Amino acid sequence: MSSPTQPTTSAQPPHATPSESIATARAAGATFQPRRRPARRNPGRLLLPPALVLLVLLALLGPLVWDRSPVAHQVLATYQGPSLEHPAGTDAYGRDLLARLLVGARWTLLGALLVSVVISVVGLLVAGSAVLLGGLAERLICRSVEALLALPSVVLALALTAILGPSFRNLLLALILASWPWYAQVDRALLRRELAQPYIDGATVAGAGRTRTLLVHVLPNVAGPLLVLVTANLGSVILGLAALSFLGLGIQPPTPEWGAMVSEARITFQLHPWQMLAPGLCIMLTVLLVNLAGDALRDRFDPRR
Amino acid sequence: MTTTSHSRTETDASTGTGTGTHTHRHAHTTPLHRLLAIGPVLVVLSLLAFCLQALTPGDPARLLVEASGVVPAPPELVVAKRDELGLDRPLAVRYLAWLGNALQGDFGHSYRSYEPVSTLYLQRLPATALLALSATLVSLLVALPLGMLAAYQRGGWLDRSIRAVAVAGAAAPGFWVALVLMYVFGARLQWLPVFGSLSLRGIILPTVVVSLPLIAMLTRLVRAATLEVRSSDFLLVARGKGLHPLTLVRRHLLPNVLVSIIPVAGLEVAGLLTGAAVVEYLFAWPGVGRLAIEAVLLRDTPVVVGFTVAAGLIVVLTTLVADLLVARLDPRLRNV
Repeated sequence: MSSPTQPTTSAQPPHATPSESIATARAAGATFQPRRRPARRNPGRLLLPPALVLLVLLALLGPLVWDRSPVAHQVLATYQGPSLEHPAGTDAYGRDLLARLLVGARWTLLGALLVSVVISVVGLLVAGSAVLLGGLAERLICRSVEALLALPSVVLALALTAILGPSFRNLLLALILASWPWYAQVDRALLRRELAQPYIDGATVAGAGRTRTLLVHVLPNVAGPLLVLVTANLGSVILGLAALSFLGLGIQPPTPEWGAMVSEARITFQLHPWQMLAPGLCIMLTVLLVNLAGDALRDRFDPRR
Repeated sequence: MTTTSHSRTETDASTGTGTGTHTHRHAHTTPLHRLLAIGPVLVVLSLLAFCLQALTPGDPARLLVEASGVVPAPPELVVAKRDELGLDRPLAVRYLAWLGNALQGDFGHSYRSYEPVSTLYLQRLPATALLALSATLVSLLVALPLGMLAAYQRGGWLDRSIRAVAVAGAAAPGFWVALVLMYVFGARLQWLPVFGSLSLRGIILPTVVVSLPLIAMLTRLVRAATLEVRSSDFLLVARGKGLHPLTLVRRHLLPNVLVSIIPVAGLEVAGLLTGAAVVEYLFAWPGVGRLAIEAVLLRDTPVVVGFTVAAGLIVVLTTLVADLLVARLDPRLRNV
């Protein structure tokens, strides 16, 4: 069906071979121009990958290395300051704060990752089928998505957890249901814009069907922007997850999660502000890292630069 | 959840897709079309809210009786209450009855206080509108100068520190910032009331918390837009004919920057007008966001459905106003 002379991406001369086009697809938008490096690189960016790796390692291996129980009460050691035994001190029940923060990182990070992956897939599927179906079906899908977008996500998530009961799984489900419409809308705009490119006409002339065009030609070309979107959005997913946990909708005590930890420490924050500051700082640092990674990816993939 | 929507629209705008949808929409629909489209949007939303609440476990009739002080609720009272509310009718019948009344402006009565939903909502709306207005003003007044300054000092220390602050501001969880500010300015320094009250002093902390992510996002947008405008030919011409720098900013730079931030800012303002739920909840701010949280937790279906419809209306109308504003500022988009 596809001839070797078919122009596959707008970035390539028409005589590109399929294997070349796969290589291009992998680099997505980056190959639009010869790679230009800005004269001044931000040296801080070099620290970004190690910091991200460290974060993931802390979440995955941290609780194994620092194997103190995050839930064991020690009635005689409440609100202790930092010490060798408890580097971050202890909380209202004498639980080790470092252990709690490390376990909390797992829930927050893995939960947000899961939500991001699911909503981007669902959004892409809905956007893709809208574009494929076209006509009345597309308009119907768009209107419904717009209606869903008008609903404040915190209220939707609240209503869903009220139905399903408060648990971490239901919190993730609520977040997914509340956030996929945004992806669907943005993805559709991306797909539509890509479909307007001249190389799509080329593919059509060469005999590619709509589905094939979308899967083989459009998808690899929007992969870069999509990756940027997911990364840039991961930070807000983490924030949303923490906010709902803070409201008491997610994981139930005594299991630690950052948002829930802030909420627990809220009652005594005048006397023991560190209990509330620590998990909040963890959230902020994580989101900061993720957002910076998103920026770095965008600078690389954005064809407009 | 204000935090989520902030960073979302940020990515939306900075990847260019958001503006893409906007211009796309502009080319094909007129304001009239979009006003007409509000109807279906509201019907879908209300239906959704209705079904969600119908699925929620627990019997509103029992909750109501128990809320009035009779615990445990006697079965005959619960039955009578179910009858009174018409809860035994099929969902479709209940929805159609609600829709018929809603079209005549009657959104039902709260299960909790028997007050009309519209009264409850309108009582709370001024507080939310006030917070939205002050947050919008503050963020524009901070973000516009900061973003332009950063663009004019591109690469300098000022630019770098402004950008660093913006990135950090976007990463801070709103509920946590609220608590920290309450601690510092309320409990420690005792400068400001910890709980928001409808006064000049009471609105400061909620405004700061709500505007922070907004400022972070808008500053970056303004910076990007300013850089783009600065490299344009028309600005070169304007500068070439010797315009005063301030005139240059007012007549040429500002309108172009506004055109690119208004679509995004409009969505944010819409989000604020529907109620910055978490912040309102934390500061005990008497706004519609808190009303919604309370209504969901108390299973007050009529209030939840009314709130949902109002939220849809606000979002659609605000984005419409934003688009009209953009068209007013940018003659090239005035094809509607």
